[in-house]
Amino acid sequence: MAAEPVNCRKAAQLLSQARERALREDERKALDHHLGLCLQCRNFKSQLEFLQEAAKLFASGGP
Amino acid sequence: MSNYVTDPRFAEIESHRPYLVRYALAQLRDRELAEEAVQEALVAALEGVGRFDGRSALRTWLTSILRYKVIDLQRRAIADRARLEVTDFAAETGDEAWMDDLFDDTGHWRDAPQSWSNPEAALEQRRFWAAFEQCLDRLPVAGGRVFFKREVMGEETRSICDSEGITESNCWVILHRARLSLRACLEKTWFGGEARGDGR
Repeated sequence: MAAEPVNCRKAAQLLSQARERALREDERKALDHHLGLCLQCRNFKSQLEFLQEAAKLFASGGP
Repeated sequence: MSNYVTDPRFAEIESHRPYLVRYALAQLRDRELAEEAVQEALVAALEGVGRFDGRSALRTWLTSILRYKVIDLQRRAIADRARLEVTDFAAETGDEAWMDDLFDDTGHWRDAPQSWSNPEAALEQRRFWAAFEQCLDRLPVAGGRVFFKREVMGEETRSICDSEGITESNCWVILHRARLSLRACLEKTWFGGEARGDGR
């Protein structure tokens, strides 16, 4: 399937959903392509990873 | 209670109360019940503090006691179930109009995510956790609860959807919205230029 280009709005949604489900190949390709071009969405991706780590630590009361 | 209050661990145990209430609220959805569960758990914890061997974090141990109290209260509250299941999701899912506040007509970020400097260091600072809790408190009710179950308690999305009585795609929307809101809040209150370099 040809990857349809995605914008930041869609990329952010896919990044979030990737934590809940396996993305389709076309989605993953389009997302990777967008991330290669967009620093802001790469920042968002790092922030999601940070949130996940922080939430896990929160459960044990911090580091 | 007076003998509890004089126990040197009282203050330390008590300091976890806000977290524990949040944990209980994620499952009981009822503040009164949640506080009741936490109260019972803390009393049990103080009675049994001699059994705490320090191998796990104190919070983890307290949470394991609370878990039983929550299950207990859930059983007792089952008669109220219909009332508890009136969901607060309608305002949080529906259409995607809420995203228009965050992205412009061309789909670009209105408030672009910045590169956060040294996020790992934040995790070791008490003040960061206060900011984190404040940002959690600003989430819409259902969003806060679902995010807590998913990311803090590590529940599977499917089981969250089942217990919340919503579809999986609604769950995704709620989680996405909560994450966007949390990251914006932390960027503003902690990682933003204004908060930096103030001696924290």
